[in-house]
Amino acid sequence: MIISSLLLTVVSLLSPIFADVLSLPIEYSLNDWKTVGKLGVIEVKEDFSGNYSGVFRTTADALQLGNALQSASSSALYRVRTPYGKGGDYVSSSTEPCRILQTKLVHNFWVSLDTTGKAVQSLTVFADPAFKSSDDGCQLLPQSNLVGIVQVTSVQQLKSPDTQSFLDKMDKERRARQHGAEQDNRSFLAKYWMYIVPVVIFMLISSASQQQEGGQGG
Amino acid sequence: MVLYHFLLLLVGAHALFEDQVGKFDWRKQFIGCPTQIEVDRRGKLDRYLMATEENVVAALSMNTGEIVWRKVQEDTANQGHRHAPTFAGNKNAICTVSDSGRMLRIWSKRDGAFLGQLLLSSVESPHPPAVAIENEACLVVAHNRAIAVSLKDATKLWEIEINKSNWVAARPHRDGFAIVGGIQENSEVHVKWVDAQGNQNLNRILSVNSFNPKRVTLSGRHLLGHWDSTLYSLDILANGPEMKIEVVDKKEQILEVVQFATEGYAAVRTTEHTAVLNLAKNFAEVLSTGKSDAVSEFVNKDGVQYVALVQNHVLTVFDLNERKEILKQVAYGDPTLLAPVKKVVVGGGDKEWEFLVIGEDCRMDHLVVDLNAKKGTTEWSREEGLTKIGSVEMLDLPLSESQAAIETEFSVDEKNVLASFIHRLISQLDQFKRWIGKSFESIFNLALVMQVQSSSFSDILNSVRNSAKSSSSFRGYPLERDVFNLRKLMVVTSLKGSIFALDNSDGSVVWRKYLGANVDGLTTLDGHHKIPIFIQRTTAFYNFDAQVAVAYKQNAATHITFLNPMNGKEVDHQVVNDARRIDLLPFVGDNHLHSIIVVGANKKFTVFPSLPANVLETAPPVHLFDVDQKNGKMTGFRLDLKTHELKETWTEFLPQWQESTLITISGKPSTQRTHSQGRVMVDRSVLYKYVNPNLVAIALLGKESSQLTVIMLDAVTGQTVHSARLPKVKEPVHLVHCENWVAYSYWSEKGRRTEIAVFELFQGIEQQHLETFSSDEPLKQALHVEQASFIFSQGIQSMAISETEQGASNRAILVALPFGNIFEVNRRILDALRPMELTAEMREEGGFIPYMPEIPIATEEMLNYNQTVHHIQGIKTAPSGLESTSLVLAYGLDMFYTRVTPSGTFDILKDDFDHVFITIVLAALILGSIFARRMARNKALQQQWA
Repeated sequence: MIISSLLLTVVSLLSPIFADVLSLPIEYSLNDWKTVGKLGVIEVKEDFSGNYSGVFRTTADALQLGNALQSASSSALYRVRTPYGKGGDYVSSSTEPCRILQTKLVHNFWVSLDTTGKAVQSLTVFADPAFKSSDDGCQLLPQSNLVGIVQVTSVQQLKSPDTQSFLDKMDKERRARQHGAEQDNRSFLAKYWMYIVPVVIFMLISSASQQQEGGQGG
Repeated sequence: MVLYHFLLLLVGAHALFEDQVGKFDWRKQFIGCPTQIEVDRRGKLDRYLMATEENVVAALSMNTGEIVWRKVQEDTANQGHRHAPTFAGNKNAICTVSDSGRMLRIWSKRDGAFLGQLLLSSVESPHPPAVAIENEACLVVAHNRAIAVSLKDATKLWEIEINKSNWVAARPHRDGFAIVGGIQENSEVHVKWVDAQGNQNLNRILSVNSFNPKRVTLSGRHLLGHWDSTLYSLDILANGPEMKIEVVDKKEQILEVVQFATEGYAAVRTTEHTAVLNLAKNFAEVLSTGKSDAVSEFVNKDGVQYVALVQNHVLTVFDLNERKEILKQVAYGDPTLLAPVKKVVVGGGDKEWEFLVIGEDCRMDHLVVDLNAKKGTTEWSREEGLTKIGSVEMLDLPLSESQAAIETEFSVDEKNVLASFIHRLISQLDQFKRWIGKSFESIFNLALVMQVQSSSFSDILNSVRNSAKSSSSFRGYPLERDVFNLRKLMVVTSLKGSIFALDNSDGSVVWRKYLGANVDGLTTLDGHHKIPIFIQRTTAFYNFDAQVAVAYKQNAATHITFLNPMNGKEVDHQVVNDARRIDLLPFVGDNHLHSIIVVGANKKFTVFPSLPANVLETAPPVHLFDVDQKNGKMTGFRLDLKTHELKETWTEFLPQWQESTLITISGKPSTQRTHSQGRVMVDRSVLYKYVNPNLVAIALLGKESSQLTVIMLDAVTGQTVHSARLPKVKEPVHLVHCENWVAYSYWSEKGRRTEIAVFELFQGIEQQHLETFSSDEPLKQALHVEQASFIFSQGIQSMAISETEQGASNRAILVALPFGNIFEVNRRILDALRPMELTAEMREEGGFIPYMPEIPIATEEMLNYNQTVHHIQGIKTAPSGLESTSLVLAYGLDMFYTRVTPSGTFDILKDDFDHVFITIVLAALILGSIFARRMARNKALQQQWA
């Protein structure tokens, strides 16, 4: 017991060292990349079961971002990007500045990874509706905090026809047929009650009628 | 096991009865645009023999235009097919070279019976093959070889090498063959004259000033070539130099040199005139001035030589011996509807002349002209442009006048009770009048039928039913919607440059419109050629005509023509330069009309017709996305009509773009309805569907990695909602996207078979979007994806999904198979949630089909029973007014139309419903009850007296 708990501690200590961490620097802009600001970093980790999880660590000042969002023109888009590949390309996403302000600067990032799981395929930013205030205005609300919730999806495997399980099933059925019906564990009474009940009833009736006859005779 | 099979049978057992053949369906057979035409006048029936662009060799009856026989050759379009088939025929047999020179086949000329074949090579010929026939041998020049084949048993007689060429010709010559080949690079022509045994009698190389394979013809023993305004002729059997023939001025351009069957003659068409060349005498005789469209020679039984000429849909025939015009300026057809002529063939001429005229849009007209007639009569026409369909839309027919009258009644604003009462009376009188008119007509028809076929009661009843169906035929009647909205108008665009409206009841052409020369399709994001049809306004509004927009490319500019689909009248026409993207706006402007948006370069866009200010003010933003073909970069745009801005919203890259082919980008039609928001599981919980109208399915196939990647993308936010891959996959890949699921088929390298698979997207057991869906709201958790894959024991050419009005019926996946069938797979079979084993609860619940790795292919489920349809390119489905019924049109080389009822005909009476029996029973019951009442009364009276 002690050994296993020790082992667990070791594993949990080692896991940040072994697991690959993909860190995605996030930048933002309110004027189509004429001026670019740093928003923070998304760190994506793969756990031992092959699932991915991500955290967002901000490097920007909430107040500064809030003010920038407030003063953005009505048609401006709040755009967010992260580098893609080595060619200076970016994957980007956008939302309306007011939406982010209304949700007290709570971001909801969806990151999808490519086939290798080592690079980003797409990045999408949403204003998290769970934090949406009743205020429909476009001001920086009190208690706004630059927070990001990260969801990571990866490329999954498409299925091929599942012939093996089907064959196994057929095999099982065939074997069951060969060995006769499956062992019936019910009691004798539970199994054959339908034969016993009529016999009992018949006996009851006949004995009752005999008694009656006897009564008449007597 | 038996139970499974039984269940499967239960699901799909709705085959056709014998008497239903042709009742709901029709098939049209085509041959394609002809590349070679010959007249066959031997035997009783005169015919045209043709080889076509669609790899078909066929014989058409000259009297009716019907196909006498048709041989569909290999369709290697996907494998880089280049050369159309070519043929040569003698008295009894024809010899064809198809599949780009790979295959030689011999057919009986009269009935098209197959006589033999010979595989010439496994690769395609580097030059277009040539074929000639002489005595009992057929000579093929292909793969830089001349091969003589016996007509009797298709065995090789002899074979000789020829010099490397990129143009060849062959013709019979003195019991042997003359073979001519040329190569552009060396500007030289080599001639071989071979006798019937394969001995080379002549072998010579001639140099030609400028040899261009596209501008050279062999006419008898003369090789004719031309460039700009110079024509030269070369006698291939004499050892002389090439001769120049002065036919043209320097400013003219030679358009075409037409070879004649008569030795020593040919014709030339230039931009200014048409002339006949006498090659032996080096002499040209001008027949007509002005540019002609086509010219052709005809020699009658007595050896008199004629030349036929078409100029702007006017025919002229010259007698070359007598040097006079036989037919002068005979017009035909309606020139405003017809495309320019590209080829004319004279079928026969004496007292009555017969012509086959082929238009630029591949329409064939067979004309008969009387010697003294002023106008030619069109005996039959074939629309071969329908073999290259650019897109199809099915439109509802407009409301009938009486239906529209009822609509107006309700829209009248008058509050006056008396006025509306009078209105009501008038419209009822009108309806009554119509009813009487129709009844009289049907009684008259019935009387006719009874006269013609005095038969049993059931036959008469049948004919009553059928006459009711056919009386609404388009001829002479206005286009009107029927009760169940089963009749539609199919608007079809042809990549050959025409628009057609077809009646879906029999496939007849209601109207046609030629768009103009050099029409080409627009390229879709996934690289397909299309001439899209946008439905701007349906016929749902009785006070406005329906309107569609058709967009196409012509001479590098993009044209959009706006039409009334019911009569083909053009409403407006716009020309746009540098259009990147054309689409229909999802909201309506003035008069319920959806506008067309054209996005050009530099993010500029235009709206046709422009929207009124109040609509612009409230217009929601429109989202578009584009794929850069260079690097696979996808960019999302938000189109703000209020501020007239196109803003970039997201960017993303398609994975492994450089080594991948984009198979498809498939959105969902905006009219598609999802009836049920969830699926009830066996434990009574509900799995809610992820029904995102902005969802787009993208399929990519790696060329080297052989990996299929399917990406589900939200086009508004650019979010990759789901992506998955499958290794060891080869083409062909087909994908269809509907509601919350995607079905796709592919060739599995691992299993060496075709597989068909489906995946479905669910939100989970909690519904996130209760009322309306919004892409701006993030998902609460990653989607729940269910998937299943099946073995499909046939290849797949095309895939589509049935469409019903409310989407409540099951859907069916329609699959076109390569051997010419259309197969219907019910969604219940192609279901991602088929359980591997049935639990006790599932058995109690019923309706579950256990998983089986194969999709059984039953012949009863072939939609087209024995009506084989070849080379299906696409399948179009449309809803009808009946929820059970979806209308299907499959098109390719052939066209097939039918109805499908994937959930059975739950809202239609069976065809064999016994009307007579039920009427008799009802009548008997009523009579019986009256009789019984009287009896009872009598009895009661008698009792009172007693």
